[in-house]
Amino acid sequence: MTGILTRLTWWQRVVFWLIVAAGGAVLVVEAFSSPSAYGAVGLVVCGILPSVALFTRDLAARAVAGIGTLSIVFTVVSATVLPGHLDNTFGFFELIGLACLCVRTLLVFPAWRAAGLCVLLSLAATTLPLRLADLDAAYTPLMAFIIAVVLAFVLLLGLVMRLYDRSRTDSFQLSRQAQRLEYARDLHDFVAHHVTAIVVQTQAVRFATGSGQLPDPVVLDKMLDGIERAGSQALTSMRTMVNVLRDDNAPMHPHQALTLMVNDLASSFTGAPVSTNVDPAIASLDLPNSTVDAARHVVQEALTNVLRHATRVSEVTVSARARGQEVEISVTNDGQAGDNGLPKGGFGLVGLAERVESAGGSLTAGPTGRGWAVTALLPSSTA
Amino acid sequence: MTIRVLIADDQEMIRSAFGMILGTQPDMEVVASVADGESAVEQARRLRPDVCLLDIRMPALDGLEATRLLAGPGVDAPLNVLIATTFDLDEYVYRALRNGACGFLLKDMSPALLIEAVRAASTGTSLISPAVTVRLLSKLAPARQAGESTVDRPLPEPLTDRELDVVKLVANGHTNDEIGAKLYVSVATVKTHLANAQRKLAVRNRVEIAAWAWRTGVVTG
Repeated sequence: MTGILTRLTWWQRVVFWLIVAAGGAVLVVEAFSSPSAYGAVGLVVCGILPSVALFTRDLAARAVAGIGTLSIVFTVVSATVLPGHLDNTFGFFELIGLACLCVRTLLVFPAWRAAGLCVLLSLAATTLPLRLADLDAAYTPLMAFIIAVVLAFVLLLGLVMRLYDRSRTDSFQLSRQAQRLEYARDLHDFVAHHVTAIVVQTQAVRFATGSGQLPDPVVLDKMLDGIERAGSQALTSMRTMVNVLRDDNAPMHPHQALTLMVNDLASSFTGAPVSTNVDPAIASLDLPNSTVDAARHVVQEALTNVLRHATRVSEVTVSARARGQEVEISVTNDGQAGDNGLPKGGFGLVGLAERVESAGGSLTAGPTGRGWAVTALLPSSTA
Repeated sequence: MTIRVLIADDQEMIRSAFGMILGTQPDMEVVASVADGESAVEQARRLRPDVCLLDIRMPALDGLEATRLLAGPGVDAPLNVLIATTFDLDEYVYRALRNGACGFLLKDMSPALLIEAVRAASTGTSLISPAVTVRLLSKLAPARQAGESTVDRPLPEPLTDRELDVVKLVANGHTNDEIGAKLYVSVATVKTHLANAQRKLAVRNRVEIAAWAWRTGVVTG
């Protein structure tokens, strides 16, 4: 939750701090309006805790349960053991905090736990008016009723947000799944091309030898050289791709540094010739893993798209250069976007943009006048 | 007579291997070996080889498009195009056949099969890679529920029973020799029946005859 602050724009931050200041002021006023020290301390403690919980990273269910229980205990004590210690307010700041905490609870916990905690928090919120022992008894149920109605709306909002969150996660998972499948297919494509070449060459030599036409040693050596290169390219492709298919949290290997990665992918590309242009200044930079990873996806996806969607491509260029605090990765080709009859993957660029954004960058893709370009700006330092 | 072959593949290794395999045959000659579809079309138009052996994935112009330009509907004097590819993806095969290819084969099939396929493509006496082709064509078959054969439009001149027998055997991947043996007729007779069927169906080659048979339900799984 605290992470959200860094993602807000400046005016959103201003609004945020204004709300915090207003809430703090309400709490202070409430504390001073309490007729006794006991009441003031109770209001402040019970008031602050839900708000603190709202902005705690890794919120524990036990903490939420504790906050709800404490609020109820304070209510019970105020209503039975120590009546008359609160008169003007039962803890308005606390009510708001509890309502917001309900929403967060709905968002972060598994269904059953969230339901239990929400019941507890709702109970704490709706019983708040009981703290005002002096109040005309007729008003207590009315206030409780109003709180319950408002709370119901808040809970509904929380549920909607939970559903929205879930569907977003699902579609992210889906697009990631689709992307992984695509990588698996590409792995197969790349490797199959190399392996086919090896098999066909071997067959040719054996067949020629079998029919009594021994190949010339020079020709044979050239063929073996080709077989060796195709074999090692297939291995490289496999290594690169398998890293993608593995868990995203898997540690990066040194050979995934940007330069090597670009060259790897370019050399295993089976379409038009690929020229690579990596700014030497970048190659020596210590790039964050997320940037290298995102860059690899950009290059990979863009090259795949060249195979899938572009026709009449005579050259593909992969370049990487420093641009202030960012690295610019771009893949351009001089072909025409065309329909080559192959099925289109819908998630390609969507999934890619999401991945680039999650690495703190931005992605643009579109025609350049003569061809097509996919460009990503990615942060070059973790700072 | 020498069978003149054009090879187009963006992988040099594949070109040299195919060249080596075909080079073992005294009656075959590789007249051109190119790395992209554009040069393939250009060279094929200039040299008019007996068989064009095309890869699908090629820069500049892919093999399917090159096939359409060399053998597609509306092309005068279409050439014999043989598609050699790494994958037998259905959509490739459909497009290749629709664009006028007379056959489809996988690159890693045995050299003997490659030679056989080139020879078959130059004469048109058998389906190329019958296993692959028949499997794919059988998917063209109309829905079983229809029960009866559904001819897309009545033929101006219907096939005779004998021609139909020949067509059915073609659709199941038999060669002219095999058909002759099965029907107790000479190969020359088989050829005559096929030529008549081809004319009546207004199709260009053997694979299209087979496709027609599967599509209209003349043959079923």
